[in-house]
Amino acid sequence: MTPHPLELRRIRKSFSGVKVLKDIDLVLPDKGAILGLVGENGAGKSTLMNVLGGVLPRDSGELLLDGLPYHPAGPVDADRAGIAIIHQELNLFSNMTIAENLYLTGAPGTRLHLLSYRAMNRAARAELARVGLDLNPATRVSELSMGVRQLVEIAKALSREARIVVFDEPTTSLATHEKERLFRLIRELSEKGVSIIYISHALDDVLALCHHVAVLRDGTLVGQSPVREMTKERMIAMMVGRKLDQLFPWVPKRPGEVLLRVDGLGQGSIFRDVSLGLRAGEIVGMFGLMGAGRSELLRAVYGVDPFDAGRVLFRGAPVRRPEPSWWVEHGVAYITENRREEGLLMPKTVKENLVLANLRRLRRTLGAVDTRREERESEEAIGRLRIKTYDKARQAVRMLSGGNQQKVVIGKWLVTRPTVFLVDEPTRGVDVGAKFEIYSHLNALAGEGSAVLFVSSEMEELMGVCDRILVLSRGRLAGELARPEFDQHRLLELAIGGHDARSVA
Amino acid sequence: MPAASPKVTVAAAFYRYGLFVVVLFLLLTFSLFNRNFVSGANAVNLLQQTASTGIAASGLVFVMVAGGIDISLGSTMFLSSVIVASAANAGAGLWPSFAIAIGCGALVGVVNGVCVALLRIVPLIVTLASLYAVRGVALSITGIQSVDFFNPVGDAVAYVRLGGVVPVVVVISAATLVLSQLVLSRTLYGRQLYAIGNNASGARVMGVAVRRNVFLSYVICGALAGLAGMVSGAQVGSITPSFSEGQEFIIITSAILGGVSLFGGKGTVLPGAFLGVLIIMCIENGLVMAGANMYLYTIVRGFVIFLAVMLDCLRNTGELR
Amino acid sequence: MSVDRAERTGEAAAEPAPAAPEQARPRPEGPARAGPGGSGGFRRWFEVHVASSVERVSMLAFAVFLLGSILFVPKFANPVNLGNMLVQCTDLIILACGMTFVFMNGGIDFSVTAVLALGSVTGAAVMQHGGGSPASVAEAIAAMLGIGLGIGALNGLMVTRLRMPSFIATMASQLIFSGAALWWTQSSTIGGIPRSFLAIGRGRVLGVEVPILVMVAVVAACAGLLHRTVFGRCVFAVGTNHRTSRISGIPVRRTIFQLFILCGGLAAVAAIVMTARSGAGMPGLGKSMLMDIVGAVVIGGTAVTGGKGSILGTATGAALIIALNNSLNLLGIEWYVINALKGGMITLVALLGVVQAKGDV
Repeated sequence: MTPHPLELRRIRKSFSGVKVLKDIDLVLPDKGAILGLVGENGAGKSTLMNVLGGVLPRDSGELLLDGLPYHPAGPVDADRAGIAIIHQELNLFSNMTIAENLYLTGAPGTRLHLLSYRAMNRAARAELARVGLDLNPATRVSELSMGVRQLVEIAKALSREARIVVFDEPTTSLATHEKERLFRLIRELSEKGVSIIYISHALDDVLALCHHVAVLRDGTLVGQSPVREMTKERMIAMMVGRKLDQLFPWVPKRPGEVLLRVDGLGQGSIFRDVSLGLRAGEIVGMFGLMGAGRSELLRAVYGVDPFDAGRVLFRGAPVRRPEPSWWVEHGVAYITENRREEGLLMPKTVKENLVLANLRRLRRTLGAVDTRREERESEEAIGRLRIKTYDKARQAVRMLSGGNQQKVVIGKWLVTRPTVFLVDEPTRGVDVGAKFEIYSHLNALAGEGSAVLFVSSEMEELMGVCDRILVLSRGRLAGELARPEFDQHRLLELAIGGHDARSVA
Repeated sequence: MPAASPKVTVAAAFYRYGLFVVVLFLLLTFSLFNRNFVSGANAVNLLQQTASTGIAASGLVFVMVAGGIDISLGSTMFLSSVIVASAANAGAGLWPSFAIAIGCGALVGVVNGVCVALLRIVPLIVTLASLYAVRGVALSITGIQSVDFFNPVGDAVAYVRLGGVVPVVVVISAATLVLSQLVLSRTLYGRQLYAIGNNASGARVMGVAVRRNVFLSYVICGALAGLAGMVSGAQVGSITPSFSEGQEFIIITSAILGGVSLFGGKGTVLPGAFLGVLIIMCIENGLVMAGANMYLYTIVRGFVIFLAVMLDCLRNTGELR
Repeated sequence: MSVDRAERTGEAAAEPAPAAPEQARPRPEGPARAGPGGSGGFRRWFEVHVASSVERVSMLAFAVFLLGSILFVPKFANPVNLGNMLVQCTDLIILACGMTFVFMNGGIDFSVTAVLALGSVTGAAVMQHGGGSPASVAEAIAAMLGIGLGIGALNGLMVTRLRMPSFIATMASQLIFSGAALWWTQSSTIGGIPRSFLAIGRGRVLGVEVPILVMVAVVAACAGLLHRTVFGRCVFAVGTNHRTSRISGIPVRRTIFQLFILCGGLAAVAAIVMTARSGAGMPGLGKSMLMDIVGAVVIGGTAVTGGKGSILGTATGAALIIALNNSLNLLGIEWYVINALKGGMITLVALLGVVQAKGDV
């Protein structure tokens, strides 16, 4: 019996004690098989692919390529083993030509260490033809569209003789005709014996393209079957079929005036025509899949990145050029999804981080810092959030566990007593007990009259804590569910909807 | 990332050919003022003047393209010139002298390279420290006295004309420029430097030996600065303790004017840096012809650096530091 | 930033891990790990309290060096010599304090010597023109401060608005403005400085020389500004991470701009003191001081990449440099060799900073 091209046995992976991959058994059954991998955000797809690609080491379990053990120590090993991962952010160098990108570590026709551009370009043309591109290989990558770049990346993978190609959300930035071209190519590759793993939220595409489908949920493989035994309904059910037995601290509220309103906001092709209103005393959830544009929306509202259409209103008055410092002054807080690079000063102490957003209020005469208030507020925050640190004035935030780090970010903002709280994945990497505390804090804030916009990929916590949930799909508001209408299935359907639709270019 | 719009390509074309236009413009203007400017003799003269800067600039392009910087060039030139001059005075032959000059420079390059690539210290600080340290070392060899380069080697470099027409320094410079450009554009190493300057972590993932390549770029830069020092020293004849002081900024300006970006990933030796050197030399010559006060030179240099870097920053952006 | 993505190396449900598998290693949440046996106690204390901070290493080195010099270098402990060193310290410390601010953001200011040169000649010219009257002295001081603040503002604009790297932006200013000073004076000095102004450099108040008082005031003010004010907290934050600072509501661009103004302004103060002492407007004032200024800041523990630093450390670094210059000179070592040594020291200290940043102390 010929061994499977790829087999994963009981793969386990944890981060800071949180289990991300739990005993995953995944099989690429035959050469040339196209395996679709689906799951919500946080299901474990990216981590799994990173283990496969040698970016992350696994904690335990085995990887077998054609029956032989495979232990990548880094991405270079994966490359040599014939595994290529086509990420969303392509690894192309924009300042060089296609041919130069293809042959960065070794070019055909090189003599006496001198590259022969003739030979390179000729060979590159052949590689490009394999992916159906008829381009001049001497074109600079910076001049190519996303769709074409993706194909170049695939050509690169093939030129390195990849036997297994993983596509991670390949169609998010593609126009329809580009998508169809990609699918044609994938089918050709499959016929030529290249095995494919296809990760996507567009379930219709997965059903159309793949031979097998595997569903991940919360780090476990829920099931793998041939495509003819799969339906969209079944996939969604498997993706969300968890027992919702956790109790969430929800309290009924009486929402007041609209504090923050967004009118027809748009940013290029990332999100368009988004309108929403946040009322005092309510917790509004925002759900969506990867690529939906939720974080981009928040960043645009807060002024971190620019937007090109629509407007933002605070307490009824339009905010002309939103800037983070303006929002902070007016009591609007923003917790980013990237706490290491945008939420914390990693080498600085817990205390320094906790007071960061509230500095203007700590000012005394001559600009001096009110050290007593600084001490009091940081101590308070540590107490309220139960942040574990042996010495807040000495321990660098970098040394804390992920959960504690997140608590510091939240604490930093709680200290400013915001009236509007925009939070992006606030419980990511936080243990269960701490999660609950965070929900209680959000509730307390709402109880005091603040408005909370809660962006998350975990639909249970959204359904548990929010008063209503907005669903963003492919940059547009796909729908809104009021609390009585909360339903896992419906949420996911709405979230997927935009991805599946025959999108406009 | 969107496809290039027509507006962008017009600007790109401007930048690509703009240099040639500027050089032509400068040459024309000067020829109006001075009949002799366009003569063959003056052209040769100009090339002689730009020789050492051109050689040093070639080396610098390697470092800058990979995203680094080296401000110790003037001191390296000084070190190698005094050592070579002393060696030649003691009887060293022509080819050994070249080897010594390049070797000295390469040694400085090795130190810089180790600190930057291996020890991961910020290139600006490493090369700033080298700026002072290397000159200090060189001065301790000379004992703050001028070193004369009036010996067979020095005379050969300064006066010999191949075929009676082309000065040796021009040949050396031309060869260096051509070879450097060849390595940058036609070898894997060169292309990898561009990749590193564009996205170092991406290059590493693809299996490029980033640290080794960056280290080598500093060695090459140092070696060529050493060669430039020898050439310049021979031309000047008497090497004073302040020889080549501040020269690094002229070299850096030439490179930036020539399209080599401070932020890495872009630029060429030919035509880029070479044209940059020509522009600088034309400006300086222009000042001479206008009979400008000698203190005006510094001010003009400052403005030229400012303009060159501003252009670079408008096209490519970095962090606010 | 591309379409909202999970970190490539992480997951929505877990902590986003960095690309290299060095995340979340179990970290002891107490002070440094114990050393072996009895000597372990001292070693641990050393690691935690001394080696953990470059600044402290420098202070230690300074103490050791000072002691050594007093004991072994002839004429070092001579009161006249000590007096000279103190005078040199005043100039260097004032300049280095200003430079510290710019270094806090990972930048550098090459134009301080230009402020010295242009400020000196301008002030002298104003006083000479005004016939040495008290009004002209006041005008001169105002003009010199104006020049320092103006050049600083220019540098700040180039870095924050034109997005030019500070090393080359300030190099351009340096060339332009010191060139201007040289051109204007044709390299000659300007005399005619009245006694009232000279008093700043040579007078005494309550028995203490004025420059020393100025230095102490500058150090106190800068230390207060950097370590005790809201602005100072902003500086530390901005120097550590621009993105986090901005999102937390800190005006990043404005803060960076102010750093350059501070540096230029303090250079102007130094220009005033130095011109008063030398007695003439000199276009070459402080020409060779740049290395010592950078050395003082780096050796004093300010991180070259920004986000970390201390005024007291800078002052110590400056004192160490002056002591080094002085005692090595007394030992007969040439200035260029001393320069070479200082260059090596700067690299070593920078290396120490890199090593320390990687460690977790």
